[in-house]
Amino acid sequence: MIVADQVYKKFGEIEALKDVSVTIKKGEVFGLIGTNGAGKSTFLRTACGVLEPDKGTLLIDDMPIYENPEMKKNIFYISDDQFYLPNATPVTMMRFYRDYYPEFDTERFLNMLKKFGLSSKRKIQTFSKGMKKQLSVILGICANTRYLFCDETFDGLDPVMRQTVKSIFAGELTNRDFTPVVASHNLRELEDICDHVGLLHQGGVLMQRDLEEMKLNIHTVQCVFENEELEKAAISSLNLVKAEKRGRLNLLTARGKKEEIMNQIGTFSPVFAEILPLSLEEIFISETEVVGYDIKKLIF
Amino acid sequence: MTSKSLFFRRMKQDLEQRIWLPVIFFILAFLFLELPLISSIDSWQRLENYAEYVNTYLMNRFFSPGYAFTVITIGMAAVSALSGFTYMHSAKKLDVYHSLPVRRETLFVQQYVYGMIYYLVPMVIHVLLCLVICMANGLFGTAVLWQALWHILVQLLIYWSVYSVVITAVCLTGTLVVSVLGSVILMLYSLIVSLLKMSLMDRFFVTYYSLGDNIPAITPIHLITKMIEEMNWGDAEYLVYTDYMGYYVKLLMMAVIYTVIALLLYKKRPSEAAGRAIAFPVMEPVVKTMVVLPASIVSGFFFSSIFSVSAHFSWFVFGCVFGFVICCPLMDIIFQKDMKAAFSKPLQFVFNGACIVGIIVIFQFDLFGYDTYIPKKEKVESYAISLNGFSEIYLDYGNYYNYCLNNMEITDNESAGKLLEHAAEITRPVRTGALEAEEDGADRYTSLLVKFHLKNGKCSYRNYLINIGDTQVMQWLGDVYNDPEYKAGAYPVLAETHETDNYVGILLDYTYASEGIQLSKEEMGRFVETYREELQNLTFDEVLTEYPVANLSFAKSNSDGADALVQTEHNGYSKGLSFDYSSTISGYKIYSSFTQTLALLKEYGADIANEILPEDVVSIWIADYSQEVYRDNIDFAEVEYTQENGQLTKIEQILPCLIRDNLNIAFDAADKTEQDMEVRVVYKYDGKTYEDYFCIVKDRIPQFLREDLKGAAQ
Repeated sequence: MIVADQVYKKFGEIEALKDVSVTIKKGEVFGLIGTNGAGKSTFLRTACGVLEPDKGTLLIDDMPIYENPEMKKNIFYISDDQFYLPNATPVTMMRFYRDYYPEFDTERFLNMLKKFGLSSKRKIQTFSKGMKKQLSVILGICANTRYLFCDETFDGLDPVMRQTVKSIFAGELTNRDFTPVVASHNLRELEDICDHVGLLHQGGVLMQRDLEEMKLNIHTVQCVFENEELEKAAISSLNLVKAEKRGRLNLLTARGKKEEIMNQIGTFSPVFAEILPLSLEEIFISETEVVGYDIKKLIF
Repeated sequence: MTSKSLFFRRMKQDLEQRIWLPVIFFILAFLFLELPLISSIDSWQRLENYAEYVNTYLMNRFFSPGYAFTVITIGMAAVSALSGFTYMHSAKKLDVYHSLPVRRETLFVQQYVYGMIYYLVPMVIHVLLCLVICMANGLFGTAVLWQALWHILVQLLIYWSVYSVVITAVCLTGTLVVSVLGSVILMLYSLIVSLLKMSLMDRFFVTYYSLGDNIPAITPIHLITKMIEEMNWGDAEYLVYTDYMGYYVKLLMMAVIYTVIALLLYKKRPSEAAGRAIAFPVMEPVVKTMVVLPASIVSGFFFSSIFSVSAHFSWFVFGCVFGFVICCPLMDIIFQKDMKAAFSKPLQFVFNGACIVGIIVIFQFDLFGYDTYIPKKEKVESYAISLNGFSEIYLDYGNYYNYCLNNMEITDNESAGKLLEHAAEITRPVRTGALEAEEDGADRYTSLLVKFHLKNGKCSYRNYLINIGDTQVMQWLGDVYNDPEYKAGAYPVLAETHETDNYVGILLDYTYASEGIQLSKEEMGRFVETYREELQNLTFDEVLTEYPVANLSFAKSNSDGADALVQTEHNGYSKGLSFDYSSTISGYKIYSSFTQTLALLKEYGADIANEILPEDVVSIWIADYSQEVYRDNIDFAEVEYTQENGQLTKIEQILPCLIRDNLNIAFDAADKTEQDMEVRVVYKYDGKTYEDYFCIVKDRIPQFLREDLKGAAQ
């Protein structure tokens, strides 16, 4: 488990992390979302021991990480622009990491390269951006560390590849003690992968939620009522997050389970009512609007 | 901790990235080691004493830290350090290296050792190859082997010290450009400060004198330069490495200290420092001051050197201000990477500006009283005095004036104290430009170098002016000269510690001949003893009033053991043997009062009194270039007296007036010989005709000559 408590980091005059407190449980895919400069990379670099927090504590499995090689053996960090040794091939990088990560699975690495269609002997500098990101994920997975920190690693990956990575993560989560933390400025790209999401903004954590829970507890209903009285009564009976009206059609976003909301609306005899699928992005918009932020300005 | 196998696997990976580094060194080392060695052996192979030549070359030059190879070593150290550690300037690279499960000090040590190996291994291979070449040519011996091993060790120390200093600079900075600048500063700083200090003192203090820079060499290039300079100046037969142990210890200490500093900085250096100019912001004001002050002063010197002498100080001040106003904001721009940051630190700007003003004021107004400094008598252990233009001896190496300052110890001479107090008094008007010579030309100033050896062990040096036209000054000078402690320091041959064992002969340079005589050890012993005694008794008055009858030089064995005396054909002026002048100590005078010395020389076959006979003189030509004869249509007046014209009587009268110009007497040679006259004598010797040029002594010029010249001018 990763526990950050009041972590503070300043670069000159810039407060990159402002008392960040977040808990990342074992075995979940944690998404860290935020705009550029929100502090995602700083948090990950602090979590993997590259940076030392100015204040606060960041413990991984109850141990500090900075200058703690034993703990670092459990962490693999993929930065947003991963460095590869000059003129290195995937095999060179495999040998490089294998020296430091005792559990590195060479056989699996070579198999995964084949699976992803990456040549083991081609110079990495000739790879496309996406291929480099794939390689970094493969290296990270094959290092067999308990924690994998990915900074903007999935940005730019196509949906098929994201699904592949998601299935790899799922496999890892099933088979071993594995906790990936994925940072991105794009919520859509995290939606397929993450179980849990933390929203960082201007160095602080705005909120932290379980995605499934979020999805189960907020819904949008598309409905039409016979008259305005019934409509007002129905709206006021819901734990409403947001309401829109297009002609006679109401689009109501409300907290609560799907059945509870439909039952509640049903009592007002709607002419028409149906639940619409809600994207993670829409859920976030709704959630953050409640706490007073315009999420569109923060993320999209 | 990393295992041995990991160490070598990492080295292999590092080598794959930096293979160019040892390869370049390998090529350079070949060009500067094997190639010159083979070339030398090849070119000398036909010589009779080829083995001796090559051996001397190996011992003295080849396996010695010459400038060329040392520059390569320094360059390799800098490049190796920069290439090995500049990953610290890239956040992208640091994300990988610092996220690895390995301690930072382990990363540091790995990278550090690789850089050392990349130099050491090629170096050892090349030196071994050179030894094999020597062996194949029959030149190998224990001495050569030791010299080669010392060569490796000293070069490695040079490499190590520079390498650790550059790594320190890299750890302190966040970009490559600033690292390079920082490396240059850390490698040269004490040398720069030393040169600036000397330049400032020389520029502002009229009594400044130094035997060399006295700022401790705490930066590698400064120390290495001093070491090589000293090694090159040594008078030993060949380079004896063990004579310079002090330097090796200092280099070693420097390497170790900077390595420890670099390691600590590496550990403390935050990863986010990549990209910043200075990794530790707290260092910024210190670095700024360290750069701005010298840069401003250099700018001051630059401006004062390109403009008129009369306005030197004004231009110096302008240059300092100009340099400061450019440099100080520039440093802020570099640190902040922002043009707007130019004047973002007003307090530092004011502080540095105040320092510049302080330096200028201190030197211009001599606030610490450097020029007027005279230590109290009770604080002085001894004086050393070296007088410009007086009793100068030409040593086989080194500066005579410094020799005097280093070897003279006048402990109890009241006149010396008075003379120096008087000299310090003169300094005040000299500083203000108020010192003016008397119109009648009676005042004549010359410089007097002084060393105050203080009782606390320190030494102070000054270069005073004294007026040798002042009879009181001359009296004090006489008292000093007549002091045996002065002579023991002024004449190397009179020093108690002076070794004459390697003296093989003497050269006498008198009015009509230059003559070399080889002496046995016993003869030399007798001669030196006799000469010493008479030189010791020579008085100041005699020096001023008598003309020396000969210049005396002692010839030493050459560094290769061969005699300095070389048999030459007699060519008129030169007789007997000539010398290898690099091995002589010259400038001693023999006066007519040195009767025992002259008698002994006669016994050894050198008759100084054996002058040219008037009958052998073919002609004497005299030209007068004085203003009195100079007119529109005439440059000089000339007269010639020849045997052919029956002018033997005049020739007989002129010959005693002539003196060879190198037999000038102390201080006022120009006053006692006629500087506007040129004398050429054509004479016969041993059936051949020769011609020589002489000076003519003013108070001996015959009246007929003056009249003849006057007539010739009209």
